[in-house]
Amino acid sequence: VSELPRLNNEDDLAGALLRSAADDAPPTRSRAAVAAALGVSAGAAGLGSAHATGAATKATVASKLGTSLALKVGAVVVAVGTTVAVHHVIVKPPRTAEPHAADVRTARVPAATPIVTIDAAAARQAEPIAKEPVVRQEVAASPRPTRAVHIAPAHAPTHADDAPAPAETSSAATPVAPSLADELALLDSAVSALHRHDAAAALATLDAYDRRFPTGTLVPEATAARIEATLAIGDSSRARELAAQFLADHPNSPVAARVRALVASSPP
Amino acid sequence: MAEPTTLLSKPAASSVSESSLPLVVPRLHVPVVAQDRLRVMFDTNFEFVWRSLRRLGVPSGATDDAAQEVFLVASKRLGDIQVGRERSFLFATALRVASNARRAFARRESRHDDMLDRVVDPAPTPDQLADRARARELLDHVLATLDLDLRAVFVLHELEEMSMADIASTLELAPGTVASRLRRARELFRAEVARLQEAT
Repeated sequence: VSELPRLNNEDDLAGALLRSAADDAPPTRSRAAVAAALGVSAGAAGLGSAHATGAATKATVASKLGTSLALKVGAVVVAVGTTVAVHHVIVKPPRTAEPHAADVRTARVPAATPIVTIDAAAARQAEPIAKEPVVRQEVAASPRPTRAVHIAPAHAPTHADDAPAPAETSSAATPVAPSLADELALLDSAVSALHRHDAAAALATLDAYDRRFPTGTLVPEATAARIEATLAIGDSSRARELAAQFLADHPNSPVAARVRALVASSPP
Repeated sequence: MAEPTTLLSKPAASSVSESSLPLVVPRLHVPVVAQDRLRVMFDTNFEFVWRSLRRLGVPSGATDDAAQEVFLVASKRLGDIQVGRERSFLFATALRVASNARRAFARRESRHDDMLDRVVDPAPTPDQLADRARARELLDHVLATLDLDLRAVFVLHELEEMSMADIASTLELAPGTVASRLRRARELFRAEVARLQEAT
């Protein structure tokens, strides 16, 4: 693949428009507000020490470990592979870092106790390279089992004292959170049902999802979950139909590989 | 390809900056305080995430919240984000969030006749173009005509000035896919710009 000259060097309208984006940058207050909300402000000692301000306030609580919505976000992302990047996470065995161990059957096994190996020599070797805590944290690895995280019903926070209702996190001020949070909650509920081997409940929840979010962001993931649930009730021909339709509609979806693996692993 | 094929294969940078990701690092399994990693990810990538969201179509008034959402997701997924793949994870998450935000914004505006025509009357004069803000507004309008998949590649190449190989790595796409999407995006971008000019 050869590199192309960039359009923004061109002396025409296209170039002028593209150059106008050179100023794109967050206002200073944005960084401060978001940092505070996430508890990563300069000098902040930790999650609890942030002083949240402005629009970012709502996430302060949500950012605490164990918080309902945030945990759901994490759990659902793990469970259904919401993003391209995460897709690899889901299809690999949870505690290995090999990027392409795409064996869905392996991934579907609930994670056992996390394997924490300390390779001190590698650690010493790595420290000078990266010069930042990132190196040491590959496993900031939540000790929670990856797939089985969320068994509680979607709207029953497990930590009542610090868990805001999803509605709080999705205040009117943000067009971003509300439907995504709701989508995640429903999908999470379906995936939890799958983990409980309650495929019928999963399908019912996915029906509700389809009615509510016919064009939702997570439709591909919901479809993958539906295929898995359909397989679980033994209707492999229906599952194959769904998979064929899905792959025709979304051949390049991050979930496509998972769907292929699901039907490939099913009995004929 | 003469350039490094992935972000991971670049030589280690001597300092952390927007463009220098943590690079070749052995896999480690050492428990540490997750918040430190989140802070580094935030410090290193906040500007990138913020402007990416803007360029992927998140309205300016919603960008802070969208950026927060991206990092909130990251904060819960830290253990599964490979070292050196932070930016890739964040951009993929930003794509999702942007997709959602764009839809929400479009819904809110749908009661107007045509949001884009209302915001941008397609007749830029040279004087107007001298106004950078006006140009930026027009850019939003033109970018909005691209599907998000194409837009992501276009934005990373033309605005973020990433190499095609880095884009392929970031988006976890085959290099050929990046090339074809970029080609298509450029065609569409030029066509829309030409349409604007004809309307003058």
